[in-house]
Amino acid sequence: MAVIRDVMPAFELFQPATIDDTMRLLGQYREDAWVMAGGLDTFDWLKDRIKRPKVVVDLSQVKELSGIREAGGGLEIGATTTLTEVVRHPIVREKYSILSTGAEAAASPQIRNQGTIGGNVSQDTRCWYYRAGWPCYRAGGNTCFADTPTAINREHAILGADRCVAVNPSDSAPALIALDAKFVVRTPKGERVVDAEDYFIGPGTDITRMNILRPGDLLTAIRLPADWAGTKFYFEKVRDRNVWDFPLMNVASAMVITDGKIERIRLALNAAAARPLRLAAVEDAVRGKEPNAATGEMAGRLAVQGARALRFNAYKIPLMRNLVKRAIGGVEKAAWA
Amino acid sequence: MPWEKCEITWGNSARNLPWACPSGGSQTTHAMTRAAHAVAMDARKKLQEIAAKDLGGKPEDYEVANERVFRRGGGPGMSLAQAAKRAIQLGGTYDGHELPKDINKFTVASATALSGQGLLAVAKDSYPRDGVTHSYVATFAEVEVDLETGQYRIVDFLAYADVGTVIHPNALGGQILGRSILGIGHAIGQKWVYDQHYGLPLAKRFHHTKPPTILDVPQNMQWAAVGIPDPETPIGARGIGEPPVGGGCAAILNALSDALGDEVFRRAPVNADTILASLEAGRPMQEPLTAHI
Repeated sequence: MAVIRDVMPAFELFQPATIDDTMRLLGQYREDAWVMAGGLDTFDWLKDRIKRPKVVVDLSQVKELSGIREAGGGLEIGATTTLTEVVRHPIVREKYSILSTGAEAAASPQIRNQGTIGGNVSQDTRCWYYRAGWPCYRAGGNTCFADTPTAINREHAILGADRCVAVNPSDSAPALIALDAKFVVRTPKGERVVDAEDYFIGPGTDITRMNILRPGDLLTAIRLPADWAGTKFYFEKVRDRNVWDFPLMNVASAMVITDGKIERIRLALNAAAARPLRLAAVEDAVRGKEPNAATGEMAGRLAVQGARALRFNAYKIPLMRNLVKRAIGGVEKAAWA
Repeated sequence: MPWEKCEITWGNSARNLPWACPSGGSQTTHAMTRAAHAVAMDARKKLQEIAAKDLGGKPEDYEVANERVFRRGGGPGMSLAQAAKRAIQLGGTYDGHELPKDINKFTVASATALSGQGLLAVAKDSYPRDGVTHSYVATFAEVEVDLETGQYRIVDFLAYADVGTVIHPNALGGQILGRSILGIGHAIGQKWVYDQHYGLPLAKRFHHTKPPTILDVPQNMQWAAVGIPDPETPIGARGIGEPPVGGGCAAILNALSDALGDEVFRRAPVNADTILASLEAGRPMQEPLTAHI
């Protein structure tokens, strides 16, 4: 487990210029290839010499993967579009402001200038045992170091744990789920478009991956449909510091309110489980109700059903309850404010 | 002496400068100003002596001001440049050919190399001092806690320092507030985390150890100084390196205790986990002696 940080291990670097060339390389090298977008996730792994890919495929030269275009009444965001470009895009700000808020909550300005939307949603978990190279389930071993009576696990999962208790750290993912975004994936068999919430997988599905991408696959774009543009949004991220910090938890909701009642709603939350959670049962429970504190409280209690605390993360249960409450009923002003 | 006519040279052995005292222990302002005062007094004494030798009377009849040494109450005088020229002609102690016996060997080497180039002031700080020299800071903070998320923000902050005479208000303010932020960092986030079973470090990166960021700094942050000269030094000034840290940390923790109750935490840093878990359970939920998790 000793970590040497002198230099990255050697690898062969490819910088393809088109998606087709990228796909050929990924098809040729399969498990040996590491796909790199902004490099924020990648270089941690490589510099720590914990992941040692034979081949790195750098996407930075693939122009067709970057940029935001209007499509199908909504937007299509290329996978290597930087978070800063997403945050600043006028249509994102005007119609999909929950995404600009969520993307802007990630990391720091410097990291958002370099980090991509595809990388933000596809990044590996930040479990500090796993990322330090401990031989855990997710790393191919046979134990979880974060789920023991002595483990330090305040940032770990309260839901969906299956041997592994790591969480997904993305701030843009819940916003994309709330917007009913579609993820466009190129596979060796062709293009596949999946709902945002189905892009992510938990340890019960595959303990070594955070999303559906298999060797040879590439996330090319994220589509925002028109259905949820300009609806009533709520996004909140709770973290230890006000910038450059992963979420302790975040929440995103999009609501259509008609005659004072919730007509349509999408609600998602991250850093509670290994995948961002779409809270469909809560959505069902609040539809047709007024978006007020009482509905929010009911929703919050429902959301945390089945949550299981580890040694240091019990606070995530009231946190999730309260964030769901706010995502539906809004923030109550303090009595003295 | 106009500032434009001063030449400031920082630690440069090529120019035969002596070692200065190291900066540490919050003693720098105190030590450096005393030493500077001692050497300035030596310069004045030598200027007065040179003037008395050339222009008559006793050294104490002369005063130094406006780039000149001149007889008190009007009368003959000479420019500092003329006095420096005379110092070279006189030699001995005036231009550094004879040195005080009590200065350390680095100063001897430096003064020897610089001798003969003008009036050389060189002296050891031998001023008396009773006791030790410390500065004090009284710090006040107001926090606003979000009881639903456990997040809090610092809405008001004041650090009031007792540092003796204020030498440089901007530098003092920067140091009081800057070091207060280090203390705030201890209260709101900074930590080293180890796995308790394996004893290996887990917090290995800055985003794990969480130093405070610019967005964690209170927007409303003020400082002030009482400005009472310290009688144990001729300048009256004391250092303010580390003292604001304790006040910055403790003020935040005390404000949080005041807001949440005394039993919610007994350690720092305090974050959403500590606050929410305790509020939920109605009692402290974290082992008080496990500081960093």
